[in-house]
Amino acid sequence: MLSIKNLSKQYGSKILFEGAEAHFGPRSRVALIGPNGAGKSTIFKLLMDEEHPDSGEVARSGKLRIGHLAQEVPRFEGRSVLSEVMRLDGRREELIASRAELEERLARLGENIDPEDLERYGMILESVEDLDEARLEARAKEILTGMGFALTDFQRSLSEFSGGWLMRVALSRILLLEPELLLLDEPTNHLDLESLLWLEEFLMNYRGAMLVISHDRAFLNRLANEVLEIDVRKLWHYNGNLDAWELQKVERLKQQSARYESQQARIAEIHKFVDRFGAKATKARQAQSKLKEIDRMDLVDAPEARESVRFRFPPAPHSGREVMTLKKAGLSYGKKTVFKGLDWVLQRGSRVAIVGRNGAGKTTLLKLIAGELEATEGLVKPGHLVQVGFYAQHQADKLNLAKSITQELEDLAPDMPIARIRAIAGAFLFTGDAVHKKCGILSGGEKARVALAKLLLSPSNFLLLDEPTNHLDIESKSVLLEALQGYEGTLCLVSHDRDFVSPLVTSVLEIVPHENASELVHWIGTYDDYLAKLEERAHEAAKAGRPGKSLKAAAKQASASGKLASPSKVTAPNKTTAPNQSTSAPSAPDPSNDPVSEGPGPSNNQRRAWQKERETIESEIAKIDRRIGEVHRELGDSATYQDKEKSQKLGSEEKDLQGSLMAKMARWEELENFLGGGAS
Amino acid sequence: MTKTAVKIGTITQVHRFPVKSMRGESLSEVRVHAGGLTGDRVYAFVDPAKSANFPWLTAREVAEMILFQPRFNDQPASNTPFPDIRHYQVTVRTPEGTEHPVDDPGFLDSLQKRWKRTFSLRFSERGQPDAAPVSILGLKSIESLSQDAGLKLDPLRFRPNLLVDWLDATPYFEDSLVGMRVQVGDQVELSVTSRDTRCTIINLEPRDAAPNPGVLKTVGSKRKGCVGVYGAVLRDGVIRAGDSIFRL
Repeated sequence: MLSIKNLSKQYGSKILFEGAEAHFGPRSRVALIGPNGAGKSTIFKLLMDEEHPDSGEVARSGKLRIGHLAQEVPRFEGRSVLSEVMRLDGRREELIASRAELEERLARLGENIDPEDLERYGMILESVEDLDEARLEARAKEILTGMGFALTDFQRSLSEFSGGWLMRVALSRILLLEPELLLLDEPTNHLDLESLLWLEEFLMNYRGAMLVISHDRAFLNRLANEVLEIDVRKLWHYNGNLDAWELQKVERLKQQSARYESQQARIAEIHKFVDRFGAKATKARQAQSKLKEIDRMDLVDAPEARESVRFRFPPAPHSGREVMTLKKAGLSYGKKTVFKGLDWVLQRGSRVAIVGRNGAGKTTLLKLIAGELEATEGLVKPGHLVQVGFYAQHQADKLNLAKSITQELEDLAPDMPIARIRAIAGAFLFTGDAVHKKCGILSGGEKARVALAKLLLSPSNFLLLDEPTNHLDIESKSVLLEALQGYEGTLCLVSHDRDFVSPLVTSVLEIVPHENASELVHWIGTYDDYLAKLEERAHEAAKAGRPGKSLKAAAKQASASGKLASPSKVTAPNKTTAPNQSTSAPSAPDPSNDPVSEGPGPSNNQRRAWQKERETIESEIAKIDRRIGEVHRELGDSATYQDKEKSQKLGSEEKDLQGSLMAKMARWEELENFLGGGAS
Repeated sequence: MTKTAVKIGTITQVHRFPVKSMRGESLSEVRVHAGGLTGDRVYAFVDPAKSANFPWLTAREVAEMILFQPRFNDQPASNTPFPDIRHYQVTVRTPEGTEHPVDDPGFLDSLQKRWKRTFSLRFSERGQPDAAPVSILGLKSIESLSQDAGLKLDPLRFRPNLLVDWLDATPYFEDSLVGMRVQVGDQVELSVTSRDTRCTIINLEPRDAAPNPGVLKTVGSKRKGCVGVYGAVLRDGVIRAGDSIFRL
């Protein structure tokens, strides 16, 4: 169906790949992987004939139809959702217009119609039939429903939808077209969990071939039975899914390494012989022969270890026990109420996945917590000494495109030595001259890496991450995961990437939208348990034979009911908030976990005294913190370094200050415990 | 049956096409299920070079297909929507009079050589219709079209499943049923979903496959390319020639 033969491509001096070979059959399921910027999207462009190779060729079978989903949000004209999807590749509208025009001409001219027009009419009817016109609308609606659109959305204008939804429209149109070959570039980036599960099922049953770029390992593992990897300027082919790829790659590198070492040893042996005997007349001929042996060798490349993103988040500064408190918090835009009466207390060290359907308000909730949006009612209060680090979904869009990568980083930390800036850029794979690239020419993945580097430059103890893995390649993603696993602060995460979320979080906060406003349901337990229950519920709904019973519909139902019918295990509801009840009830910490709360509660006078003491201590802690900062600056001064007595004095003061800070923090936490959860 | 059911016509013929694009057979009764008439278009030839949405090799490409006559070796029983698989054995008689099991690889090979194409045979007991499970056509529509075209048109040219004599003598009365539900006989309920858009196959005379572009020209100019209607099966059961049709 489609083959690439001996294909090479380079941009300027950068060689993307050389001698690439691949073959795609009618049912090929191929994952295309490789580091960001390695040339994955370029392969797509070459297959679609939008770019030309430097050498080699792309051979397509005659009528091969390719459907391509690009990473960028498409620009649509003012059509409705349904009509845009049914537009297919644009040919359908032309055919229908031609058919109408010919029918009008047939009616007008009767017997005098040009025979060629009549023949063309027959061909148009056949072409329309080939589009499966009779079932097109029903299929379009089925796909749109799977993608999360409501029936009422079908006739809405595209101008009313955000970028993420427009990507879904673009994907729906491609799926409806049913091309023989799908080229999907990060198709899951804009999907919520339910739609992602639906897309997986859809693609697993898809009749054609597909080549997919995705950082979502679980998605690729389920879909792919072949892997193409761009690595060290070559296109490598592996049979099996991502798990199989990993094992085979290790083996390949091991073999390559062994062959390389053996060959190098032989070369060294020859050189040694030549050095020793080359000048001797009796052996000179033999030495020349051995040198020719080197010339004849097919030299094995040394396995090139790819530099990965390696970083650790800076130590999280200490914060209060309650990192964030939402008390009867609400958010409205004009007459539209997004949230109402939200109560939630986030404890220090928590790792929470925020889930919910698209449009449920996950990003909005993160912005509310991050302080980027202001609650229109109630209280959203960050805890003591909380420093928020916020990675927004379109953080990469906030880069100054005219600036270089280093300039972007320098702006954030003007006092930081350039060597450190370059080290951080290097950790995100921007090395050598790449650090001087303007942000405007970076790929989506590269921009996301710059945005993550910026996050790293700002120490925080409360990270809010909105789809941080979008645009990261698989290796970069695993390094980010590793870094977050080592992060000491509190974490709130929105991500549809199951492999990424699963090992990170300890609980799940589900946003359940209702007609008037959304509700928060807090599940204690692993993300995998949450997913398992969601699927279990979906299958139960499907078994019950409710109409249109895809996983998604059932998942919606599970979501709407607010509970996952888990009798025992970890998806049991948070002690503070029953899953089937609105969190509009105050979510006080469980008294059973708090020894000071046992028995009758403290008197109001006692509470007031604690509150007063807490305020005093907070003020003292701030003073100590400031002084520690001053001492650090003085200690860093070269004059102080020369003055031994002064530096010893400052060192001693610093030690005392740290001790005092620890004591104050301990008392402050004690008071927090006494007052914890109550109205303050 | 509901109190508002009104008789609107009578089925005069029931047709089934065991192999898509080949000649059909007339039946006295047949079971109807969600996929259409039991045994209708259960075999079809798939051309890998064609679009995935319409992969069929049809008489559009090979006109003489409509001269091949398939028949079930053992008529599928009408007491069950999906009879045992052995009831789907079909023998095809070629225009030359030789007979072959439809799934005989040798027969497929001979057809590929004869039609100079590569294709495969696909079986599905649910049927493989173009657009919808059941096609319905009124006798008066054919009479009117014959007048417009200036020649006597055989209804089988339009390959309907149900040929109907409507009480209302208006040609193309079936078009007025789109969006409605009808009951056929005492069991089957259909939803009339859309008009039936035609293609060049209607140019072929069923008797000898001779093409006449005038038919499509008339359909295009007078009927905007549509003749007959499609139906989806809401309730399955048995349909018989002579059954009444009621509007619900």
